[in-house]
Amino acid sequence: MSGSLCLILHAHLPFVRHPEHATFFEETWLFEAITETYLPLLESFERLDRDGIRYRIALSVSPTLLAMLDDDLLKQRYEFHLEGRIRFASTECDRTRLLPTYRALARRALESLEHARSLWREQFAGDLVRALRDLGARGNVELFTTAATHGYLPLMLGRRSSWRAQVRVGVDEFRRHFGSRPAGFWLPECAYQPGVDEVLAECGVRWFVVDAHGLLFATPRPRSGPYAPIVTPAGVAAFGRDPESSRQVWSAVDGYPGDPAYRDFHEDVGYALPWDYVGPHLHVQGSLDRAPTGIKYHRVTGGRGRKEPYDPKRADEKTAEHAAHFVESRRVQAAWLAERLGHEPVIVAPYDAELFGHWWHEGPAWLEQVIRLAAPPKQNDVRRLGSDPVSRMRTPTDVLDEGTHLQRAVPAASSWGEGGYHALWADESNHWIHPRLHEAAQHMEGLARRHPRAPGRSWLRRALDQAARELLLAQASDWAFILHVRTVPAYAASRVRDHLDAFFEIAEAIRRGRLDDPDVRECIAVRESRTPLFPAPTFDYRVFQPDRTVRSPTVRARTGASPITVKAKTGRIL
Amino acid sequence: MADTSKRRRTRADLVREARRLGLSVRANATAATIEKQIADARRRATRANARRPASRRKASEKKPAANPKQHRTSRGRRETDDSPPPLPIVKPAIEVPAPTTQAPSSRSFTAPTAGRNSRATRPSHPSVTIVPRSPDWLFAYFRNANGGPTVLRVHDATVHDVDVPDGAIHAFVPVTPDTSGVRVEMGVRERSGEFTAIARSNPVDTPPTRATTTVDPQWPIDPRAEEVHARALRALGGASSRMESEVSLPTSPAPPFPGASKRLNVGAGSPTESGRAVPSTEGGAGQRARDFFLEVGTDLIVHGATVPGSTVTIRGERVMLRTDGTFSIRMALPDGVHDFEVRATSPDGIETRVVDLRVTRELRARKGR
Repeated sequence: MSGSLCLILHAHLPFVRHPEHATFFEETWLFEAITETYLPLLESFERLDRDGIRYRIALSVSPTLLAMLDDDLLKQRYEFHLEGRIRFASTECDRTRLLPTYRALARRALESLEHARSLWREQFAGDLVRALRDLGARGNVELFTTAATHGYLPLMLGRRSSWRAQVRVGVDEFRRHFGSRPAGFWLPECAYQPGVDEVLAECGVRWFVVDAHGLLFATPRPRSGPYAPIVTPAGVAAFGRDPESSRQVWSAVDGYPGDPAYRDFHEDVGYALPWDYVGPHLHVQGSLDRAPTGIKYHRVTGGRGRKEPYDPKRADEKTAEHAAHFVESRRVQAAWLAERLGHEPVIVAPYDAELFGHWWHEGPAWLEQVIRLAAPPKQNDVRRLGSDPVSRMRTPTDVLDEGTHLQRAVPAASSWGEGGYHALWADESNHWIHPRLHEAAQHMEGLARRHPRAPGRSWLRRALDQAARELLLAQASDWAFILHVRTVPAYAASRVRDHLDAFFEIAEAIRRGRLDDPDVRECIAVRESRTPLFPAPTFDYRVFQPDRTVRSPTVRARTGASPITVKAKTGRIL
Repeated sequence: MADTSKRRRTRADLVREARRLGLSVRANATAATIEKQIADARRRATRANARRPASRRKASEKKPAANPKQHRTSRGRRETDDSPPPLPIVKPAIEVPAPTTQAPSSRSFTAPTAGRNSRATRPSHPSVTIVPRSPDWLFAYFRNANGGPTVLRVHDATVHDVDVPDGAIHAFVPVTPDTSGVRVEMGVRERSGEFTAIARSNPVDTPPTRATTTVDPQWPIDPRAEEVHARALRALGGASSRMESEVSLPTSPAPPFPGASKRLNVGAGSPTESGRAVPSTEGGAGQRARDFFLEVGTDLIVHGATVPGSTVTIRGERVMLRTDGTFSIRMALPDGVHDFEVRATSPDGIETRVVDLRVTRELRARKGR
């Protein structure tokens, strides 16, 4: 008896682009992710395709990440960044000349950076969006999408216009970049609230993923728990995340990445070497803050003592061991589940793509080996893992295409964040953003209602589109998250403020009919140039038009409460 | 509805009354207008009260303090109270949101900056909005035109009140999990104890913390399938083997990529420790029984000058020469005796000069006094 293994990767970064500064620390998130995650993953997939492995994996790429990968300024800055890293790595090779172990590691770092440069320049010609499109076209990787700016849907007061904008723009951007409709939709942070599925259905989405308790606590109780998709009343399939495979990879305590043999993410020389030496190589000129350089010489080691130098050979062995362990665990798990459920279980294992390579240095190698072990072998090939069939790799779309009869149920509100619900994104550190986001969303709905047909390329249309863009950018779940983890809270707060201020200023200009004013026009043009994502013909502010039900006068009845509270809906669909 | 006064009230009385109810009063409003405003507010509150089942109303209004949630709210985290809560109160998912209805810090009630055109700066109706942040906590924010003392009356499975201090604009409010149509009314409590609502929130559904008992007869759950559910719940809750009656949810957050700094627990490093042993500090003194530590590193810089265009090697490795003929290399210096042969060959290759350099580094760690 076998089961389906649905490996899902979710690639996302918030939109960070600051042409107004020569260098900008937060832009390095993208650069590091390209070097450490996106290029290695793309290379792995190419290698698998070349070797004729028939695997299946689903990969969602967020619209903000696509916009950044498609942006000429950021591409140019990435090259500049990569050159700087290469320069630093070669300096490190010189500096460690009396320390053979470290010198070998420095050389390894230098080689891998030079390899990244050749991948970027020669193999992909700086166009990772096209690389992704080609990847999807080769048929082993199914691309899918997520919310426009990764907005946290359950904290939007059940406002359909905001949900629809986040979902619709995510779907439209996918079509613009890849030329087809996405079958799946990654709910940002796996965060679900009943009602979201209706909007997904409206936008033609076939499936989404919730955390395990989203299905375990669904109504009625799904027979197979998280191990079979269910169908919501709106007609969209919901898959449940398997907690066991998640733990094996995610957990900081007993997950693979914490193994003593693996490279320690935290041990970056940028934090330890003398400032006069390392400072000039850090990204932001003039800043006195230390920052990671990407060069890390130590392994996790374990315990509190001195960290041991990284041993690539030992790490490779561990990687192979962990890949085999993962696949074998799935095989055993699938057999155990199948025996009890009486059908082939569907084991859904979704991960943030950036875990592989950025956080977990050996991650891309591990993933490639997992795929090689789990993918159905070529004909007449000898099975690599005993005589039992391993789990079959499928994407959720494949599972649905098989036409299995699905149980009807409503998933429970949930997320994959700490605690399992929405608390992390609405706590002491970040709650203040929500009232203002709600207010702006309500305003936007009003604007879209009052201007149902702004003529294309008119200033009114440009202003409305830009207002919608600013609101979407402010809604990104990343800002609340950063405020919570306190890594760069000032930056996150400034982004929310900046987008909302711009939104309200544009809204005010529209309301007062000041769009003829050259100053206002210039302001809008500047904002457009700073946020070159979601271009106009595809993007349309009217995604924010409210539901007909919300527009009906009975709902607007004056009960004394604020318009927000009157118009908000619970989104309950049972 | 308590009638505060039978006598004819002056305008000042009415203004006071209206403010107490959280109504904004225009400077030029006449006594009659204000009276009408007050009457309207009371009518709204009566309507809101009437929508509640009488049994609930009674229970909560007789002994509002007996409600365990309110008790907890007003006392903080129950550190002095040993009696178990009669309601299945689930621990807050994270420790941060100590209910802010007690002793609010000025920080927590002041949004970092108000948007320039934010509605919050304009006079408006009192309002209260709620968002379910977890099964047992709501995030509520509200606008009470005159700031006065406010009570939030929570209508979930029960009805309970949460006192909000003056000037507060938000609160984390305890609530019953898995309840649909939860609402919060913002109001004031009369001297008589009567509650008058001045605004009513949107309805929300709080998420469940356990599996429902509703089973689709076409999809029956036999004991074998129950084993699957139990195992999944165990895996979700970590090592805990608690069943669905008391589920604790996962501790596996999405690792925070955007915080591209070293504060993440992937890789099992301590989030607060900075980079330790790097080549430069090899041999440092550092048993880390406590957080205090000392690490000492040495780098060696060898520099010099020769005729521009010459070739310079140190220990046989070629060194970059600047156009003015100067050179400088920096290297991490470990313990031991190190011999460096610095060799320069003239641009025409005819002449060679050699300098031998010996550097000894010896590092000993010892206990200080």
